[in-house]
Amino acid sequence: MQEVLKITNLSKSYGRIKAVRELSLTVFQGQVLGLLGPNGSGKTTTLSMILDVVKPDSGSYSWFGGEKGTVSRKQIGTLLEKPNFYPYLSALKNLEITCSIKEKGWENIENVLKQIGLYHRRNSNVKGFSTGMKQRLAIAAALVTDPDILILDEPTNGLDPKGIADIRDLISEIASQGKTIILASHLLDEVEKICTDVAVMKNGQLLELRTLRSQEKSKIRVIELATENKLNLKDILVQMKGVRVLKRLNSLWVVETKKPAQEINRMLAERGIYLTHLRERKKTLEEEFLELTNQ
Amino acid sequence: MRKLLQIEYLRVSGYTAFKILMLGYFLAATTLFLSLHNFSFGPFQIFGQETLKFPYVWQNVAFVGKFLNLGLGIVIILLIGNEFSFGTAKQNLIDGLSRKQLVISKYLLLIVIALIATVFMFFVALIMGWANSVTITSSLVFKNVSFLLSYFLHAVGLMSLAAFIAYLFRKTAIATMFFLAYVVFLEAVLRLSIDADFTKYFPSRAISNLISTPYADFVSGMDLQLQNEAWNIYMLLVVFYAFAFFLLSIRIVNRRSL
Repeated sequence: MQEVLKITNLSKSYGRIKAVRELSLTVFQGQVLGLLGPNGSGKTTTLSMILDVVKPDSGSYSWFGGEKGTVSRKQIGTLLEKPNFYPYLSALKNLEITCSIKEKGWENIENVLKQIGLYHRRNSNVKGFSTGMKQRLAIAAALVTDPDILILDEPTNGLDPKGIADIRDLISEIASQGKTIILASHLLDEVEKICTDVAVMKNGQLLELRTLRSQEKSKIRVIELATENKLNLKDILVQMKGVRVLKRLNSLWVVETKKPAQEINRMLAERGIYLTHLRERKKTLEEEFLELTNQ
Repeated sequence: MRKLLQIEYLRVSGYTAFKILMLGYFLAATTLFLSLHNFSFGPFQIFGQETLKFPYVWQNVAFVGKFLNLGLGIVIILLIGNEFSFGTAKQNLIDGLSRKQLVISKYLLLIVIALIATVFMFFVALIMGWANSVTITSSLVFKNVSFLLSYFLHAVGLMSLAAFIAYLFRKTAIATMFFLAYVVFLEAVLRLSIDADFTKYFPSRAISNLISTPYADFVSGMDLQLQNEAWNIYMLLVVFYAFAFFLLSIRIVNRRSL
């Protein structure tokens, strides 16, 4: 696979706060990378640095194996933090400016406005737009030149549930076209559905970088259990070898183990615990994320 | 360069505040020039009937017009300040403009504004000269037209200073206050405190000296710096300052995060 972005030992501090520490990461063509991390983990600073908005203290990055300038940024559709537009101009005019900067024609503007659900407001000034509408327009600006790479920082911020679903479907559709996407989001469910790979950051450091498919290959199972005798169940689960209690969800206990669900059921029955609920499932990205970031 | 100007045109063509400010500038200039006959300085009527004749009218119009250029400086500060307050400087950079292009586009715009203002001054002077002159020959009409070059350089110089201050402070209100304070009294205080001949080459003074008090022929005996010829050392100096402000603006934008 062709290397699209290579980040090497990138660091940035704001006073005493180290926002990003020695970050190294490579993104390949067609990869849909989810960038995860709690607030202040350095996701936006990292994206700002690779887009030349923020100057790194040390380290380097390269787009397409060497180009670091305007040419590479013209090939990237970006939504970084909050939408930035000329409020006194219409949605149409703002997108015309985006296309002009990217040296692309204006023919796709109306299509993308229709796609994003803003066509009926194309001639309205942006200052009259709601937060959600501005967010939609920012996504339109990222997509309008049909870029090879998309960088989306919290793209569903400020959107209503339908808007979130629309944007998720849109990103999935774009991802299926083989485009490279870097998606920073707090909505782990979304990331899990869309991304092929995830990078987890905390305190400016990269904690983990892996493909989401490796989760399917993993032999570790997550099992949900419930019984009438709840206190007893927890005590027994803690004592069982090869079983780790992850959390309690209302009346359910969630454990992690390599043993199959039937064996757990048998072991508990031998101890006089009869389950009212038993379900084996994949470990969610959220559970892994919280575990990794110790939250 | 054409592309950058096109982008600037898209930005300002739909900006009502910009249009109002520019319209205000032209209206103020027109009103001022229509009432020039009434201007007096002590016992001297500075802009009498004689001074509105060819070839003196060019210098007359350029001299009065230079005071209005402060307004053009404020317009430039507003446009640059907006880019930072709206976050569009950052967005333009993300979309693919280089930091250098961000600055170049604004300096190109200020040159275009200066050109438009100069063309306006040309027609104003031409109409006024035509209306007040008895003898009209082409050699007389265009004799001192070079004062419009001084006016153009004055506008470019002052707007370049304003642009530099805008890039330095980024906030429109602070940059406007500093620009006005610097041009009106800060540099004057500095010049007085140094009290040396070379202070006349300081930026604001040099820009102002491009077009000093007109009509040595009419206002003799007054302790004023008078000027009969448009060509002077300040022309080169102002070009140098404008270029220096441009390079410094690029340096500021290059060094800082957006």
